[in-house]
Amino acid sequence: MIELKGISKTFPSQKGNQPVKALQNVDLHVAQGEIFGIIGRSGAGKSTLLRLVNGLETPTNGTVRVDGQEISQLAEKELRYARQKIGMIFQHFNLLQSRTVWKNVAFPLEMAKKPKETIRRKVDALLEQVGLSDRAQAYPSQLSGGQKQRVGIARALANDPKVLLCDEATSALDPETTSSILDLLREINRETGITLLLITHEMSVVQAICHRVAVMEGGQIVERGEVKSVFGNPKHSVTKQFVQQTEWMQSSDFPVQSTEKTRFHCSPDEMQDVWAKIGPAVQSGRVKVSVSERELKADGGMTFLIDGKREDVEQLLDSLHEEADLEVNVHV
Amino acid sequence: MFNEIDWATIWQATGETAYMVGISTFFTALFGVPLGILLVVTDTGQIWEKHWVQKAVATVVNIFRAVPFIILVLFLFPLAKFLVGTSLGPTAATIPLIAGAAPFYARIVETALREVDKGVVEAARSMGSTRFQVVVNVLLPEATSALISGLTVTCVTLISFSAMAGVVGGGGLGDAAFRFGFQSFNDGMLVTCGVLLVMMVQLVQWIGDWFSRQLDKR
Ligand SMILES: Nc1ncnc2c1ncn2[C@@H]1O[C@H](COP(=O)(O)OP(=O)(O)OP(=O)(O)O)[C@@H](O)[C@H]1O
Ligand SMILES: [Mg+2]
Repeated sequence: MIELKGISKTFPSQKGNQPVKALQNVDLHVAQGEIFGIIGRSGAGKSTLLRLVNGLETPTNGTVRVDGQEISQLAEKELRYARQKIGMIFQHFNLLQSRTVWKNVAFPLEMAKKPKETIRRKVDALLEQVGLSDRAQAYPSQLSGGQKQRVGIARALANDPKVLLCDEATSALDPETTSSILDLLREINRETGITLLLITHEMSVVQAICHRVAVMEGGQIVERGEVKSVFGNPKHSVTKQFVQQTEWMQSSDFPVQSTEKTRFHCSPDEMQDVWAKIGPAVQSGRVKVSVSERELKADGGMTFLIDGKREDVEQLLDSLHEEADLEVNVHV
Repeated sequence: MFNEIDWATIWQATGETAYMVGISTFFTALFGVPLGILLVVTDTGQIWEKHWVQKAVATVVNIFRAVPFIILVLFLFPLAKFLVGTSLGPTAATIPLIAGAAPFYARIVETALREVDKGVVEAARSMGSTRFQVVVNVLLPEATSALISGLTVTCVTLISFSAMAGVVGGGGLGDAAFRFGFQSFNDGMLVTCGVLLVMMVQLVQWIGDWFSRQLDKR
C-alpha cells in the first residue's frame, strides 16, 4: 500500500547552516491493512518520512508510491485527490479553534465539495464512532486532549481514506488516554482494513498496536521486522536503549514515593553517558530509577526519578556530575 | 462662552465625521485584508511562496506607512479630484484616509494571520485543501477575532486622522472645532467637538471589543 524506494531528503542550507540530510536511502514497504510503527529519537527523520507519504514534503531522491500512485509525480490537482485518501493525525491535534467539533469533522468533506446531506450523515456517523456525539457543538478549547484526538481521528477518516498517518498521535496524552486512543485506532484498523503508519518515540505504543516496526536513527532505518523479534532481540544500540527504558519503566513503580526523591532531565546527547552511569547503580539494587512516560519529552530527552537512601542518591548524582559535558538539572 | 453652541453645525459635522470614518474604514478593510494575506502567503515557507510579490507588496506598504499622514493629505487631496470628482469635503478626505490606513491595517492583518497555528494549515493541506480554501476556510476564520480588534484600532486611528484631514478641507468635527471653535474663540464649540470625538472613539472601541470577544473561541 505504501512503498518508499531509495528515498533521500536533504533540506537546503539556510542562513549559513549546513544542509540537513534528514533521510538517506530509505526503503520501506507497508502492506495493506497493516499497522506499521516507526520508532526513533528526536531528529531521526520520522516526521519527514511520514510527510513524504502525503506529499507535504518532496523527496530529493527516490520514489513514493501510495496505492499504486506515485505521489511525487502527481500534478497539484491529482495530489489533492490523493490526499483525501490519506488521512493524517497530529501530536497537537491541529483542530480549527474557530469551528465546533461537528464543523471540524465536516471540514475535509466541505473541502471535497460533498453534498450537504452526505456531510451531515457522515459527520454524525463518525462522531458516533469515536464516541463524541454528545460533544458535537463544543469548541476544541472545551475538550480534553483525548477528546481532541478523537476529533482529529474522526476528521482524518471523513473521506474514507485507505491510509492513516499518525505523527506522535499520543505523545501529548497521559497513559490511560493513550491506551484508549490506541484501542480506537486498532478497532478502526480491524473494521475498515485501513493501513496505519504511525511514528512515535514510545516503545509501549509500538508494542500495543503495531504488527511490524522500523527503528530509525540519523535518517536511516537501522532495524526492522516483527515487533516481537525486533524488541525481543535488539541489535542496534538505539533499539537496545528503547528496550532498556521500557524494562525500567515496567520494573519500578511509578511514581516513586520517597522523601529522598530526586528528578533530573537529560537531553538526547547526554543519554548515552547517563545510561552508562545509571545502569550499574540500578543493578546494585541500592537505588531505584524510573522514567516517567509522561516525562518522555518530545525533544527525545527524558526525565528520571531516582529513589533510595540519601547517600546512595547523592553518590549517583555526583557520578553523573563528574561526567564531562553532562549538565544534570536536579530538582529535589 | 458656552452659550453660543451652534448645534446644527455640530450635528452636521458629526455626520460628516461618521461618514468619513465609516467609508474609509470599509475601504481600509477591503484593501488591507488582501494586502495582509499576500504579505503572509507569499513569504518563505508559506503556502504560496513568491518572493518578488512579497517584496513588492512590502515595499509599497512600507512607503505609505513611512510618509507622515499630513503629507499624504496634501499630496492626495488633488488626486481625490481625479478619483471622486472633488478635492473638498468629506468624500475627498476619504482618499488620503484610506491611503494612510490601509497599509497600516495590512500589517495588522499580516500579524494576525501569522499567529494562526501552522499545524492547522498543514492539517488542512494534508486533507487536500487548495491554497484558496486554506485562506478562506482556515486563515481568515482562525484569525477573525484578531482581525476585528485590529480593525477597531485602525478605526480609532481613522477618527483622529479624520479630524486632521478635516482641517485642510475635509469637513467634520475636526474642521468644526478648528473654524468655529479655535479660530472664533468659541471654547464651547471647541470642547463640544472634542467631547464628541472622544465619545466616538469610545463607542467604536466598545463595539469592536464586544465583537472580538464573541468571536474568540480559544
Ligand atoms: N523544513 C525543514 N528545514 C530544514 N531542516 C528540517 C526541516 N524539517 C526537518 N528538518 C531537519 O531534519 C531532521 C529530521 O527531522 P524530523 O522532524 O523528521 O525528525 P523527527 O524524527 O520527526 O523528530 P521529532 O521526534 O523531534 O519529531 C532534523 O535534523 C530537522 O532539524
Ligand atoms: Mg517529528
